[in-house]
Amino acid sequence: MLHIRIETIGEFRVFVDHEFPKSITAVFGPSGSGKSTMLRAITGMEPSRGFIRFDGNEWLNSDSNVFIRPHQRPIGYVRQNAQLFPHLTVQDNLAYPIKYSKRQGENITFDGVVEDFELSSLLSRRTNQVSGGETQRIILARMLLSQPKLLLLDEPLTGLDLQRKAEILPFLESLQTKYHIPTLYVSHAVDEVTALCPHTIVLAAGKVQATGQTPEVLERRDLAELLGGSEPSSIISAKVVGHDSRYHLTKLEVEDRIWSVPMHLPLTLGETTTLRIRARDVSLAKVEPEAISVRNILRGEIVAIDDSESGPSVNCFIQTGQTRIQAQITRASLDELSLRIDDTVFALVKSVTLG
Amino acid sequence: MNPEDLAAIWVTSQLALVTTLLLFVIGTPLAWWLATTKRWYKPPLEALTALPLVLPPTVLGFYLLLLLSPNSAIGGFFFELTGVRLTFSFTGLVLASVIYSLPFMVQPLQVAFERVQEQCLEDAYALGVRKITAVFTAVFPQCRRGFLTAAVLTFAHTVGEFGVVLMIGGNIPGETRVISIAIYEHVETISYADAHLLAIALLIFSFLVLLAVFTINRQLPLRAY
Repeated sequence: MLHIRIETIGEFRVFVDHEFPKSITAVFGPSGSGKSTMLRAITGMEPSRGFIRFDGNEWLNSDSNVFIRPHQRPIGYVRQNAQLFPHLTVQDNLAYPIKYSKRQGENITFDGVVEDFELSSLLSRRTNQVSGGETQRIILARMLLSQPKLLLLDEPLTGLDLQRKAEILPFLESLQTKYHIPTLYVSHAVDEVTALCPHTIVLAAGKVQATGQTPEVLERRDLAELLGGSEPSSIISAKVVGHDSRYHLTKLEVEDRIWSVPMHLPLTLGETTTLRIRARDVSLAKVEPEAISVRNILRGEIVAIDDSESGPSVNCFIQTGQTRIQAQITRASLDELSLRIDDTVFALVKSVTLG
Repeated sequence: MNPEDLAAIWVTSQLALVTTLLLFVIGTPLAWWLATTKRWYKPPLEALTALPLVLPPTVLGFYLLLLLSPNSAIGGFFFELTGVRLTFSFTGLVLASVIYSLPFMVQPLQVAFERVQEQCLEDAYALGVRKITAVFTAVFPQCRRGFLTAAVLTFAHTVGEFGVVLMIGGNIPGETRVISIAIYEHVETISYADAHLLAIALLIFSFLVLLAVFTINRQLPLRAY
């Protein structure tokens, strides 16, 4: 899909050699790590050396002097703090790429995008008559109407409060579910990443620190600091199988087990969602506990123990079926229970966050 | 008002209009270049463009006179080519005015372009729009205020010229005698009533023009349609 090996030429050096999968990849890292610079280099707006290949096309090859100009690369790029053109109405902003871009595309139409992004009531407004969340929706819609084959989104939810974010997230999800355009998504919020991105690349100081499946990358304790101080946690996907209105619980199916989590009504039956379980919310028991208030208890084997950090705690990785859960326990408990790899344990999950 | 003064008003209006139009064509690309370049010779060129702001008009007029006279290389070449003298002629006045009023066109435009240009262009590229299209459809429309200010200042400043015109154009009725020179002539010949008439007209005109600019700039919102 997208394969880059680039080194930026500007004052801030960013070196990235990576092949991105054909889905949505989170670009993660502390501020100043080179996330935005990497995106700009892919657009061609940041001068760089090396090569960029996308779907068999070469956009950059400094050895053979290939440089495709930014407007000729089929990229939908939303920069940080992106803005609408203030001299145009919402409608004219949306029509701008249709009118003035020569890019070709078949399945993305003005009417379709206006409907998907629920913009029909805003079309005649001026850009100073729409809210921040609406502006963000219009920017995403306008980007789609430029017929992109690759999306580069630089913190598209920054500056919005929690409620606005929750309003935009479904639209961001629809970029994948409906339009199937591969995406690089710069973010520093773990929740956004777990909800949207199956893959993650972590940058720091202009270099790639880690890549892989998002759950595995987020589990890594050595990256915890880079991931914005986020705690080690496990990401698992689950299917919604029911709501229990009496106890205000939502029932989720993980493999063949049913989990109960606090009721979350936006989820519809049959929908697949992600659960994030912080390692410190998981306790371990050697025998199956009885008469206990914790509702989600899983039986599994210890497959790894990470005691690389010198603090009071260690992280145990428990495999149960296809699912792997991380538990943070004290070093004292580890020794007292004499837990070892391959031991069968019961993981007690005290709380989860829905993706 | 006597016919000679009316002719002076006519010459002045023509001069200001032609100068503004020419400078619009010359000044826009120059201002764009100054707003976007990062080359080392940008500051010297900026200084050169701004020179007419600080030089006494007589200095400018003196050098233009030397440069444009039919005995000089440039003026002589132009005379050979077209049969038109560049000194003591309307054509020469236009040329001098273009140089003299250059900063009044370039500086407001440069400021406007610098404010809008970079992010606006990148947003347009990201939507698949090439540079020249983006400049005309996204950058320039957002610089309307700058264009208006530049055009009006250039026009008004040309109307108010005196020194350069006197040096290079002289005082030929119907050809190079502009309002400011007509006033000077009336004062020299102690016909104060005629001087008053022209002077008050120029005063009111200038005030109204500036009033119009400030009013329109207030009402023309920056973020607007």
